[in-house]
Amino acid sequence: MDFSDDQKIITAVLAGNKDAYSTLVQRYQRPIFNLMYRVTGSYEDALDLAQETFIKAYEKLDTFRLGSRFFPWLYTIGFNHVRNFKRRDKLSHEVFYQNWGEEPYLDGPACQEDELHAKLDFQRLFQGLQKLPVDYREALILHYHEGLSMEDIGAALQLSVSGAKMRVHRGLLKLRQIIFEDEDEKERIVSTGG
Amino acid sequence: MKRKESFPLADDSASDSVENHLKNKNRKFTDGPLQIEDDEMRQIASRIGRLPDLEPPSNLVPSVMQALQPKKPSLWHSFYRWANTPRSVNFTPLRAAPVVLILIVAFILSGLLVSSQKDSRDGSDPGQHRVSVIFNLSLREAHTVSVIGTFNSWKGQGYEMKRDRGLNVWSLELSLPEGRYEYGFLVDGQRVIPDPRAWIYQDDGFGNRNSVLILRNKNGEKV
Repeated sequence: MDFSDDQKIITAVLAGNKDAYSTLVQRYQRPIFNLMYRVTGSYEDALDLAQETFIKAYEKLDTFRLGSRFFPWLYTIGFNHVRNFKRRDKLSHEVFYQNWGEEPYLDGPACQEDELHAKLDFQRLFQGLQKLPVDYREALILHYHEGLSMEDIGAALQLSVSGAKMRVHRGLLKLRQIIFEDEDEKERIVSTGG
Repeated sequence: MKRKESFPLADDSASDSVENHLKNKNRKFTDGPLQIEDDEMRQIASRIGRLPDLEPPSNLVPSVMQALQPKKPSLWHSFYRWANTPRSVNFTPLRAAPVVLILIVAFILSGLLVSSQKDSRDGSDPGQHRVSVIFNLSLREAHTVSVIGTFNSWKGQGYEMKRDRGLNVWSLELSLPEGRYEYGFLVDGQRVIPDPRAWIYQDDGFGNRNSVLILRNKNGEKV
């Protein structure tokens, strides 16, 4: 993720150049939209929440500390926003991951055996992530998917650096446990015939 | 994703001492990048990295931008932008002449002002020669002695003499403009005595005598 000219853009926005903000929205719409989708499981809700996050961030831009990273700051706003939404809405977790796992990302015209295995692996991963508490899941996504440093994860999830490391490491341990417990359970069912 | 081994932490904790295990465990979260113990976890981490993202809807950016109002820049930002904007100035020598003239006059006037302030601090007329003079007084039973006279309006503050404890001599060196002065020594802030080594004395009209000092700098020779 390229953070290099975020500061210049923010300075321009604060000076009254509203249009400059569109660069930031374009740059970070993908991770923010996917965060919302992971948590809500609804495409429409994810769109609304992502929009509201960017609008909120714009309104609070005066409080952004120039010199620090913009994305972790934005992510904190988005994460708090979607958590409040979930508290109000009480959506089901189950729906979302089933949908997410069934998205046709890997259904190409030539679906080879390797790709099929890869798809099955990804589905196991999706299902494992589905069962992981959201704090651990987001720490893993931020580190291994978005490529954020532990400092930035700490800033985004309001943790210390060592707290962020612990969150990522424990998340990975829990995820491994979930994935292989599921696998063992399936094997047990097959071997007992039921 | 096949399972290859059991949880390493459970195995390690059996072989290591509890103390070492806890030490290593804590170090993992404080020093350097996060260490992943085994291949299984590395594989999971790598697959998280390759998880496909959903493409955000195309109307996300326009709908956000439509909802925003331009920000009114704060005073600080306005000033920063003004101060940070480069400007070019065009001028002809004729147009610049009055400005240059004003600058020259201001420079000369400020020089004169500084000089006159310096002179007024010294209490001398400009152009007058100054003569260095040392006042000495031998007096054993005194705690403070100052030189007072017509050159300091008979006020001893700033004109305190220093005592040479070995010789019991009080002295002070002053640089005074040429002229005639009456003076005396203020002892312990209470009594005034004349300089016993003065050549000339003058009655002060109240029954006391002042010492008289005449300073001239004649061809570099002090009188």
